[in-house]
Amino acid sequence: MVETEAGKYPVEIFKIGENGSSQGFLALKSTVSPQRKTELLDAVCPSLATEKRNKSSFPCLQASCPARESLKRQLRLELDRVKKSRLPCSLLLVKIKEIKNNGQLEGALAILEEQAPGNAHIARYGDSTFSILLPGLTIKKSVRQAKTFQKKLSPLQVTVGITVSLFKNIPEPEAVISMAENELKKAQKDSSGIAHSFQESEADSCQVTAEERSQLFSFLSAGKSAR
Amino acid sequence: MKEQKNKAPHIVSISSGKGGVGKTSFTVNLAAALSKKSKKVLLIDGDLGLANVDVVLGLNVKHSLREIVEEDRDPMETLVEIMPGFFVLPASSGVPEMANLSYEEQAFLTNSLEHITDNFDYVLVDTAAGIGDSVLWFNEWSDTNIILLTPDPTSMTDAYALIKVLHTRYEKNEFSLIINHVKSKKEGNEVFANMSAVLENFLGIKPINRGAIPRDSAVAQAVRNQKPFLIAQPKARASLAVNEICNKLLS
Repeated sequence: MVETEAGKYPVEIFKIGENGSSQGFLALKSTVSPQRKTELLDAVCPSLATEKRNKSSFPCLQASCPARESLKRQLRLELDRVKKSRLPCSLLLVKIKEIKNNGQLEGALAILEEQAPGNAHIARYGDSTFSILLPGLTIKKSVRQAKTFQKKLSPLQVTVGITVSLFKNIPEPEAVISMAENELKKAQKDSSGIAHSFQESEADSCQVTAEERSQLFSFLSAGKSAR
Repeated sequence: MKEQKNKAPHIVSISSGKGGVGKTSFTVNLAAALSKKSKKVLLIDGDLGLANVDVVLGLNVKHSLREIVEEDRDPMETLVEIMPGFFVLPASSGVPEMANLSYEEQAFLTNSLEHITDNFDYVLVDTAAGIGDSVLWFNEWSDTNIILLTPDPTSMTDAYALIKVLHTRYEKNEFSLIINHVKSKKEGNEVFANMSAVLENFLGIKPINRGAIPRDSAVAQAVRNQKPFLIAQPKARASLAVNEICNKLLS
């Protein structure tokens, strides 16, 4: 049950116990660096830390990797909200090149966290890739946000793949991730370093046109001329 | 209030686009009219940052929607009973944070409201003016969307803009129009006919004519006295018009 609930948040959960028995859980934000994670595990449960150290602590872009599973769970939650609130939700995959060490990666993460809106969910998604869920952001705002990330992380080379989910035809989390991954691939070939899969901007189509105004006021003009 | 009703409540949003067209006054009186017809009514002050329902009713509000969002307060304990069957869920005034609820707070508030609305026959939402998030969100949540406008061109344009946004982005197709502050029934019908023609021409929407409310000094007087005009002056022209609208809504 604890693990199920934890799945709703961007955290990694560790069972703490000896000989297979569970005595407690340790929840760590998925943005915690591998080094810090090991330090914390060492302090709380040394045997678990050793086990963890023997496995690769870096998530990857493979279909079965923990980062992808965690992102899918978070996406499922956000897409349910999109359905209910009818506000959009944007997924950014941000790849940072030329990262030489963990310290540099942590520095980049700190910048991303600082620049992202307060309700963003940021998680590691690969060696130097981060997934950023931005609830409520339209495509225009998402692109603006991506440009901010690029500017603030400069001179590091940053590519961003974006996909926006709207309440109409909400896709499955897996499909959203695949779209964002495809856009990330496209972004790496694009000179701007940003690519997105959403073509239409509905924001502009709501504007009241001159024709509509004219007809709205024709009744008033007719009333005036009749007087 | 403890008994649970099985039937889902009818949720009605009252919006306008432009401010100052008489939304709050109309909503308060519609709620009073419905409760006089033995309906259990909840009036939610949907102007989350600049609430006015409490002012129009002369309430001394201790708790509001703010505490529901920020302190997880039980919404049932936040309700104020105005008269038998007529309850108000007040909002806060002068709190910018409430006017710009985050994505999560909006979702949380929806859940909290859905938890209490089953106790009522009608839930009326007096939304804020404009086309902000909370206005669109309350309209999306509602079964019936009433748009209040006056014969003023700015009011007509803003009402049209609001309907266009709700139609384009939220696929809303049914709107009820009420024309406030009319000089005569004829003027109300003319404004409705004009709005209806533009809506049908450009958006393919046929609005419902819910009626018109005449200019009436009883309205301003009631606001100053902080009492619904329908109760203070039941024979006033505005009171009769609201009763007529109430009957249309019930039918």
